[in-house]
Amino acid sequence: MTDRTFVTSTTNVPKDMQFNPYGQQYPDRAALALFENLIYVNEATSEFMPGVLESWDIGEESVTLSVREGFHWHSGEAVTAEDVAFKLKLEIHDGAALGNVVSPDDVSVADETTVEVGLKRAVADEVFLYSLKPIALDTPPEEFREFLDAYEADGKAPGLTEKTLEEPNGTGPFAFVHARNQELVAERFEDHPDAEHVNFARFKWNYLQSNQKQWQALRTDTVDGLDNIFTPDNIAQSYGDHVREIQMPANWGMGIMFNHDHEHYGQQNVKRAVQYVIDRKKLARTAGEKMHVPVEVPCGLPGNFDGSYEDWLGDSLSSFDAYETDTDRAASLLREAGFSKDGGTWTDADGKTLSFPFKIPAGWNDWTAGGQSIVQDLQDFGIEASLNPSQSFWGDINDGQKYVVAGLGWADGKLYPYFSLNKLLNSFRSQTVLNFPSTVEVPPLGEPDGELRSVDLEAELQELAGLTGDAAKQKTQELAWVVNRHLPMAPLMEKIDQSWVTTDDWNTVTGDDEDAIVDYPQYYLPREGKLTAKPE
Amino acid sequence: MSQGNQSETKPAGSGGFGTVADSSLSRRERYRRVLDLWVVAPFRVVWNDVRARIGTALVLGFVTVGVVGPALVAEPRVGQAPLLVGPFRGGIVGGSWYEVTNASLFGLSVPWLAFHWPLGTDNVGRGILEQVVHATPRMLTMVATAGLFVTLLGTTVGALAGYTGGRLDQLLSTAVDIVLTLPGLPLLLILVALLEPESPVVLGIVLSLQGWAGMARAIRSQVLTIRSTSYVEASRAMGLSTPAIVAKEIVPNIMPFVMINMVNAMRNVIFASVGLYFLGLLPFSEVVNWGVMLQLAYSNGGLLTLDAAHWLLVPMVSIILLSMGLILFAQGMDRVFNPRVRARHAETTANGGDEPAESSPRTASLGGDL
Repeated sequence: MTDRTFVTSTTNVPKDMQFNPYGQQYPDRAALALFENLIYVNEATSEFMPGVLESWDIGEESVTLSVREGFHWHSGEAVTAEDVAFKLKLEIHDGAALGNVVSPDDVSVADETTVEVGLKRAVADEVFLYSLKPIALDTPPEEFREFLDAYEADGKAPGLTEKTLEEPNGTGPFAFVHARNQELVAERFEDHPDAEHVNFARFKWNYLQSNQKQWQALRTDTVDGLDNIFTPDNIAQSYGDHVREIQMPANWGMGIMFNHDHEHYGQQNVKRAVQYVIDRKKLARTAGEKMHVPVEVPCGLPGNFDGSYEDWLGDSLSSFDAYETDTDRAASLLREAGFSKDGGTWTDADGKTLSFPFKIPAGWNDWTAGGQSIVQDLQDFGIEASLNPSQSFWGDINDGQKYVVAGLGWADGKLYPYFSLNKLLNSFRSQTVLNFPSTVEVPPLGEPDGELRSVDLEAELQELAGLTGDAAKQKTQELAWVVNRHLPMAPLMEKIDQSWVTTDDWNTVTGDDEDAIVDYPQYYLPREGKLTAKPE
Repeated sequence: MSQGNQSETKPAGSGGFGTVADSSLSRRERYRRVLDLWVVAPFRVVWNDVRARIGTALVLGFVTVGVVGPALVAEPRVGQAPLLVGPFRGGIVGGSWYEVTNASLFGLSVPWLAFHWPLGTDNVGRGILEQVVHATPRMLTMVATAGLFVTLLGTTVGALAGYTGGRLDQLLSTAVDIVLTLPGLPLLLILVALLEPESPVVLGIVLSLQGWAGMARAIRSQVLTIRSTSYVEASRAMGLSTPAIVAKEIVPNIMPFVMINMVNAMRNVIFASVGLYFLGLLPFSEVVNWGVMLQLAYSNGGLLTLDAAHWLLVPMVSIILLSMGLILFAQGMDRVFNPRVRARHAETTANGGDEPAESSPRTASLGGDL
């Protein structure tokens, strides 16, 4: 046991943090140390690992979850199946993905360590487990009981988002000590079942708001690790040899989102033209070659970093439009849609030009670099795009839909294809932010000129959630084909997350260890005893 | 100036105040004098003043870069070169950043120097020199627009209010007060968010929207003072027309003031645009402003590693040089607009007048006359 403190960073003001997961100020990353997730997943292989749940048995009609013994709330009480069931119900009521397959009434406690969950319909293991994955045991029943009662009484829990907690009562290996303007501190929690693996005394988060500050902190050794931060090569090389990089697939990446309410960018031909114009290889190179791979076939399936999407598409792969950069094809698509090129710029029949500010979040360096490549391609082609890194990006996109075309992640961060397809075709976001229709017409897979068939997206995605094996593959291909034709978003790149740990004071593993590819090494590895302090 | 002496020696024409030229000038002589006083003399003034010389050279240099630079230097494009190449790669002498080749000029092969990203490249492989040069025309357009806008509006409103007085003065002064009390930065942020200006002309005007008021206020006070000086009263009593009084007596006296205000407005708009681009509040489609370069360089760790330092330094130096050039130029112009200094440097004035150009005590007493 040492007296070391693992120092890292947070982009949330520690004093303003609220450890209510349903509120606005929940610090997602720091929470990974304070709370225990139900399960963990290796992002490269989709292999699931135990957290609060020791094991799970997924049947046709129900799932049995076993709670690992030895967990305690930081206030001292033991964690029971009751706590897990409570959390699951609250999540389902609150609209979590799990609610698609489980009704809150079907969650019941079998004994001290077992929770029984009834399924609405058959569901693929991955779909069920990925729905569990984002859930952490972070709502002590004594604090949140009233909200579950309210939900159960009339389906609403007013005030849940505003609920504030004096101090978080967590379940993770580190317990909250204090949160000040510039720092959050947590100390080792002895009653955690994995506490024996943790040989350092504290975790500390410094408030480092920008990428520049975090890079600077790692360069000057004022932090011991950073969970996930894009780092240009020249900066990475300026770190000493003692700074270790762990790369992990993000199953996520930049895409172009179109506001389908816009007269131009809701048109299928315009969207496809944009996808044809952008040189994705150059884009990935510009945004940072090591951290970005171009999307090979824009079909809504992640896995471009290792080509695993090809297994899902199988023989149908060749039928998909790979959208290799082809400005002639783009031009003919636009002409087909009634546009003409006038003085180097595309205009519609009324003389309105195809132009838009390409909105991206301010401060995202890789996207800013990549955005310049995108804008250059579009301008060369005759679409008047400009780059607009916006401070008010999230508000503009989510609340007011004050955008025409913007950059946003197209995939859902999970390798299993259902999730990204669902996000693109059927999610809250696709319906209310992208304004993508709920029913679309597509020709049969591989026959672009064939007879159109109408696809009810919600129904088909629900069906996909329950399919396994070849049936799941078949349906995935059909829906990927819808994405490939309609492009609710234009998928462009897939990202590799970069995590950093220093090794002068710490023993740790490399990215080859499968435990290192669990979000994020500095939080998961100590639980496994794979991030330990060197003797002082 | 010395008409008094001569009028005594001549027979009075019509009444005591009538004046008669002591000699008649040929048209050519007159043009020569005008040219001498307004073109050659200012040039000499500039040449004899170090500040003015440096300032003018810098400003002219930037204008030249702005006008012919984009034609000579390749357009900056994403991916045109390797990423983050350092400046003068391979050393200033013998490096790989330049190459002696041959170029064909009217069918003749002449030795030619080809440059390869002499000032290095940024993180997306665009030449830094290329960016600075291609941003220059837009910077200059923006700066000139702002300078013109502020000067025209400020001087006109200020001079009109100060010289006419009365109702018009009250009205104009109230307007100036109102503009002055508007909170500058919030107004700017709102306008920029509303207009999302990309054209340098619009940007120049938006960013200097408040600048003219301060200038108008200052000019008004200055004009008020000058207006009540004895020599202006005398000119009026002599029946000179208002335009003549304004041109001969008022303008030379407020010109240094106008110049320095104009230059300040220009510098402010440089800094404001750089600041707004730096904060990411303005949309951009290409590198249109050195502020964009600074922002990109900073946010990509230009401060952290030497690899990227040139990316930050080059636009910074450009901004400093242009700003310094403008200030030195304005200070030099102080002397150009000073009739005494100009007269001293004009050959025709020295010959035709009664004071030797070189005599400093004489000049001092001349100052007393003015």
